Amino acid sequence: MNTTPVPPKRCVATALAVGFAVSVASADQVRLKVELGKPVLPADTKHTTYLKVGLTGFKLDGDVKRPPVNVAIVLDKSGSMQGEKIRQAREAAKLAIGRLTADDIVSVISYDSTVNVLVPATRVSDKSAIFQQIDRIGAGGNTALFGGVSKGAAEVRKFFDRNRVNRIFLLSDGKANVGPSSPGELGELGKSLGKEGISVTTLGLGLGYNEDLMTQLAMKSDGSHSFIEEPSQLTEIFNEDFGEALKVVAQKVEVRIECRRGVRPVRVLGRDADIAGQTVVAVMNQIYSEEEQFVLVEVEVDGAGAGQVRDIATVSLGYLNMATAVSDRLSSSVAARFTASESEVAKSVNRDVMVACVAQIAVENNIKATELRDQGRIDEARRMLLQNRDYLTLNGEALNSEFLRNYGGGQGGQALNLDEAKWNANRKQMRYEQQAISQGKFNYRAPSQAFGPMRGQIGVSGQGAAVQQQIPVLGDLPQMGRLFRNSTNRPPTTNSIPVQQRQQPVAPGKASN
Amino acid sequence: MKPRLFAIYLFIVLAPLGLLAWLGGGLARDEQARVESRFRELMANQLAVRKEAVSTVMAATERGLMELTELPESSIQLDLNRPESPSQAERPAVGKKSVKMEVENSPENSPVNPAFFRDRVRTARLARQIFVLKSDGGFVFPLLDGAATEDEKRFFERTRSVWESGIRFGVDEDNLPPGPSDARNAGSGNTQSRSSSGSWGAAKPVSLSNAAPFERDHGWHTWFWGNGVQLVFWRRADSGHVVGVEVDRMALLSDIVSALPDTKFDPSASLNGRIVLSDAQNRVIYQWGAYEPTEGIAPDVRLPVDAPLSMWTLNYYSQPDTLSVGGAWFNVGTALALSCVVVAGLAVYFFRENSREIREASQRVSFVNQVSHELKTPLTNIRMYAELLEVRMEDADETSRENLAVIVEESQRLSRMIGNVLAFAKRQRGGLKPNPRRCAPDDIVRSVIERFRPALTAKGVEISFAGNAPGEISLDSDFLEQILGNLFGNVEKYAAVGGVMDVRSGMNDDVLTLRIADRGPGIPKAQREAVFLPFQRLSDRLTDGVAGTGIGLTIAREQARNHGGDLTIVESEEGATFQLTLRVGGKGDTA
Repeated sequence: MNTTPVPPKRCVATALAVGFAVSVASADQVRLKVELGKPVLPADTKHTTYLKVGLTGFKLDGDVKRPPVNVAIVLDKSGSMQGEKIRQAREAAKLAIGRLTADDIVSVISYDSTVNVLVPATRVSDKSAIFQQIDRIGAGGNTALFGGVSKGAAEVRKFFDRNRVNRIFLLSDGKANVGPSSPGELGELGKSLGKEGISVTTLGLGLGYNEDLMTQLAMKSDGSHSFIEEPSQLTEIFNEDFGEALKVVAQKVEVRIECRRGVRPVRVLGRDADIAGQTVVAVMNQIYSEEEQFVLVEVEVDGAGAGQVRDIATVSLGYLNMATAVSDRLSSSVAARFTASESEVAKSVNRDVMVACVAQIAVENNIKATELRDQGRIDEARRMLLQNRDYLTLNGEALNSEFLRNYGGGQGGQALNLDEAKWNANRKQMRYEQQAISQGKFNYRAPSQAFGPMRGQIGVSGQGAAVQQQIPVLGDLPQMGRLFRNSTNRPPTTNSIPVQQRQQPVAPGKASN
Repeated sequence: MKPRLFAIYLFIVLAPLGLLAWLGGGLARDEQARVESRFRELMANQLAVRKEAVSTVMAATERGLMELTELPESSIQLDLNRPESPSQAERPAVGKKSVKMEVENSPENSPVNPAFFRDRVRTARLARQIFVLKSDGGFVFPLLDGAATEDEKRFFERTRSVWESGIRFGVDEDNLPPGPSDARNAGSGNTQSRSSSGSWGAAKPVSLSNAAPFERDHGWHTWFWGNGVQLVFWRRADSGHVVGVEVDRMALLSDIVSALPDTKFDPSASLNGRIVLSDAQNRVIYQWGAYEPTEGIAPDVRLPVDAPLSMWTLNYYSQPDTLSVGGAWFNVGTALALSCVVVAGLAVYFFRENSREIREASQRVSFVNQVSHELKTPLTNIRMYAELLEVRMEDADETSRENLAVIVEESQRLSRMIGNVLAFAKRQRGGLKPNPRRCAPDDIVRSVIERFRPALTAKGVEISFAGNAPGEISLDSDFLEQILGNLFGNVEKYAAVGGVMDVRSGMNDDVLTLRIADRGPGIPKAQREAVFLPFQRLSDRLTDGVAGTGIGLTIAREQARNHGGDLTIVESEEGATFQLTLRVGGKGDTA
């Protein structure tokens, strides 16, 4: 492993290591970490493993000022927002704006049947004037969500600047019913906004909003979504999410993964990405400070002779550094070593990668369970969730991941809340968790007490901890479906795959351009 | 107030008001129509401005899409002479139909660098997908093969109907003249209507030489899929390749929304109504304005958006009270109320004026009455002493006696006049009631004749009296005297030329009848009633040189009628004949 700092401003750093490559050029650059689920692969056999490209934002401290933001706060003021909700919403918006400085730009839009641009995009110099406008918001009317978001986008565009964090915060408690209103259409809007560099953070309040629409809008624009069950939580959660915008350190992020010959990208877990032939391209709108975002690719690797070391993929990362206002390019590649020793394969398993994989697969299962419940197949949905719980628990134990164990516990809670009375709130929580975890937020908010165990507040702790020797489930992650079909519920193991008993030493990391 | 007078006043007040209301109503209706058309004009103007805004967005979109469909030489080898792939590969079906497609052998052999277009799709917010067609319609990019991304596969699914219709961009679209930069000339045919072939793209390849000349080098194509109209923008490169962009509908919508106004919080700054941009299914795309129209009502004005979005409409819903001209009706109402006040005021004024006149008249009458009363006593004394003197002066000289007779006559005339005036005043007070006493009518007639004899004789009038009512009866002798005095006075004044006055009396049961006939000029039939009206004389001619109050006959008739009889003019061969009837007490009655 090697780093090549290139002063000043523009840095190109690459690293190649077997199964593990980290590229860090300087303190204010994004950390690019390319890892394989199994850096040591069984020789001479086609094998499926996972490639994780982790991007961690650098730290914002005294030396590195946070980038200025350009945000639009879009508030639903339809009839259902009356009372406590609108009051809390006003307070939350004011509290959020209170955190901004004169470098920042804010606009406030409210909507019911039509849209009011209350505060057109303006520098945050006269907060009291802005607050005055916010205090005028009363509730009543329909829900022109599309128009509200579009106007929010229009306000953001006025001062659009790649060196600012351009973002829309949407707070709604109702189903959109004026203008385009389907989750698909709003997802499309989110996607086009994401392409522009505008992310949408959506906050669903209460139990009346359309969680599909809100998550689609958030995910397709690479924003985030939160479920706020009680108005009393609004201020806190709104500000937590608002704080995200203040932690952005990079924008316009493009990850390009070129798989080498003999390596086929099968799919990308948890996020939208293009797979065209050997190339995987994933774009993200931003990277947050000290938070890891990742692209998880399932790859099929042709076998090679034991002892060989072969390049798996080259990853290039381009992003706009918000601290330096310069486009950075980093690249890195990763290689795998082939061995005939089964135990060596098992030993090599990268815990972080596998935790991420298990989480994404569990999210997929959770989405399937949601679909089943939507079709009224409650029993099947319950079974699916319980199996998912077992899957998570098992892997949580094997990988010693508290997060997986907790997430698994949550599945059990969700399985108990599929009846009509609790389904609405449960579904909102599920949608929220699905999008949060697929974006790598392992510290998602747990549901209220009614839903089983509390959240797991763990990052990827215990990096250095020894990975358990016996990880039966992991060997066959892509065939997760089999877990559910398997009546014995016994997870298949890598034993089923013929293993060539050739062994070669791990190749040392080497630097390349 | 008398009912008749009240009715007149009511009419005076109501008639002009009714007229005014009618005219005002018509005026208000006209005003309503005028204002309405003016409003519609204003609304249409507003919509036109918004339509223009949408067109501006579309024009900007088109400029962006022109850039997006530009083919840089580096990205594509536009080698049309390159031999086409001879085989038509069977491709996996999209949907249920098996579809044929002429494709390049593999991405490596493709003249297009797919990565170039994929990058464009990733960054261009308006593009959902970009495609490149060969001049014969076959796909160059994307290709539905193993290298296609999931998005590209979905693109084929979405656009299936377009390719199934065998579309040839710029060839067989609507036969509009080419408009290099005019969006409205772009074709906007419904794909559904042209589903001529079941296969895609170049199922029926047309060789370039046979192909119809390309009419345009860029344009729009619309079709319906999923939630509404979908748009493709295409552009023909010099090489004959067609580069198309499936436009991200939501991005376009969002841009259009951005270009339209919002509802201002300040009501004075906001639209006084509601404008709705709605799609082909009449669903709201975007709307603004504080007014919330009732569900299901029709818009006041509707304006379609320019092509290629011509199936969309802008709709103006105005607030009901702005369109109905409350103002005009209010004005008419005010005018009516005002006129009501004015007319009523006038009526009150005239009424007061009238009653003042009446009051003044009655004051005058009572004044005259009082004066007459005051005159009566000295006149009676004058008459009495004159008559006494006449008796004493029987042996005086002729001239003195004649002079004295004049005094007596004139004082008699004067007291008759005063009697008339007093009777008239009494009549006005409704107090002209008979006061019967027993007396012999013939004697009274005779005495009245004797009183008039000197004056009549002096004018050459011969008096004859045939009395047939000698008996005593109950009768107001004053009435009779006054009536006869008036009638004889008229003969003296107007009919002296006839030279005859014939008086006859008769009793029939309890009715005393008197006929006084002369041979004067007579009274025309038409005026026989008019002479009984107060202050009426037959003509000015008759009044020449004749003094009178004009109330004699009126009082005479009134007295006769109050006495249960009448005074009328009866038919006669010559002159005028008055017939007086009086109902009298029975002969046997004794006081």
